[in-house]
Amino acid sequence: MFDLLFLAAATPESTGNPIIDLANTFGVDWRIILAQIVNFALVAYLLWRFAFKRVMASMEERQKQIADGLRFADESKLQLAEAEKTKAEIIRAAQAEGQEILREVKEKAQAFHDQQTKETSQKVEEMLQRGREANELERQKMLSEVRREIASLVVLTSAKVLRSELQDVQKQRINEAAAAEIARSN
Amino acid sequence: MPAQNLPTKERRLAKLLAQLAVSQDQTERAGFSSQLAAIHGSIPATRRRDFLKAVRSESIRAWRRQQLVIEHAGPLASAAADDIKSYFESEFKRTLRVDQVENSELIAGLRVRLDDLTFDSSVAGHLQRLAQTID
Repeated sequence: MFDLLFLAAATPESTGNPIIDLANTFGVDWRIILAQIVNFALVAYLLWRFAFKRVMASMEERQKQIADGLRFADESKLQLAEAEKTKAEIIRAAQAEGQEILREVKEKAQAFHDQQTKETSQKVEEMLQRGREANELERQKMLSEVRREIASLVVLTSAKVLRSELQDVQKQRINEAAAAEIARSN
Repeated sequence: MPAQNLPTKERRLAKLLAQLAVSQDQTERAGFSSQLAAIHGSIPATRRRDFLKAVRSESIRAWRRQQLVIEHAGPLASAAADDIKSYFESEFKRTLRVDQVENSELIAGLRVRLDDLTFDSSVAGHLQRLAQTID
């Protein structure tokens, strides 16, 4: 940079004033600069008046929106934390309630199971009792039939034997005894 | 029933005639025909048929009332039959007529029937009662 300045100062047509020489070297015209300053001021004023204010207002609005967003995000985080906490409590309560329901269901199931077992046992016992009674009846019936059959056989056999073995003399004696028996019994 | 269509007096007459008809007295039996003819003539013609039917049924009933049936297997001494007859006559206060029937199914012993009564003293009867006792 300083090299350039010295190079500019070392150029021909020097006025003796390095600053003027430097300005001459770079083609600086004070009038143009003044005009440019006026122009710049005018443009700056116009920009300030018609653009910058609106941009600033827009930026402020954006900043406000961003701040609102951040605040909303913070509130959301808080709400989320609160919701998480509530959720955890609800889950705990639900788990506790679930455990309670499960315990009640288990108790009811156990009671139902016990009752069913008891009823089934009673029914089985009743069936067994009925079976025993039926068997006993069947046995009595069979015994009665056997007894009847034996009695019938005894009578038939006795009748057959007596019919073939009894002689007339014996029959006559029996007849006389029967006559006496009839007279006696009446 | 013819007898039920008759007046009481005629029913009583039918019974008396029936007793004459089955009487064991020869004289009484001989008087039956004349008595029947006399009474028959006094009965109105519309009831004569029923009256004769009533006399017949009463005669059958009276005959059965006098009938003492003695069933026996093997020989039966006449003295034993007479004993039975005299016993029943004294017991039921009526003259009986004995019918002896041989029945080999009895095996031995007697079965006596009078009206609806039966007195069984046969071996078969004893065996039957024994079987019922066991049963």
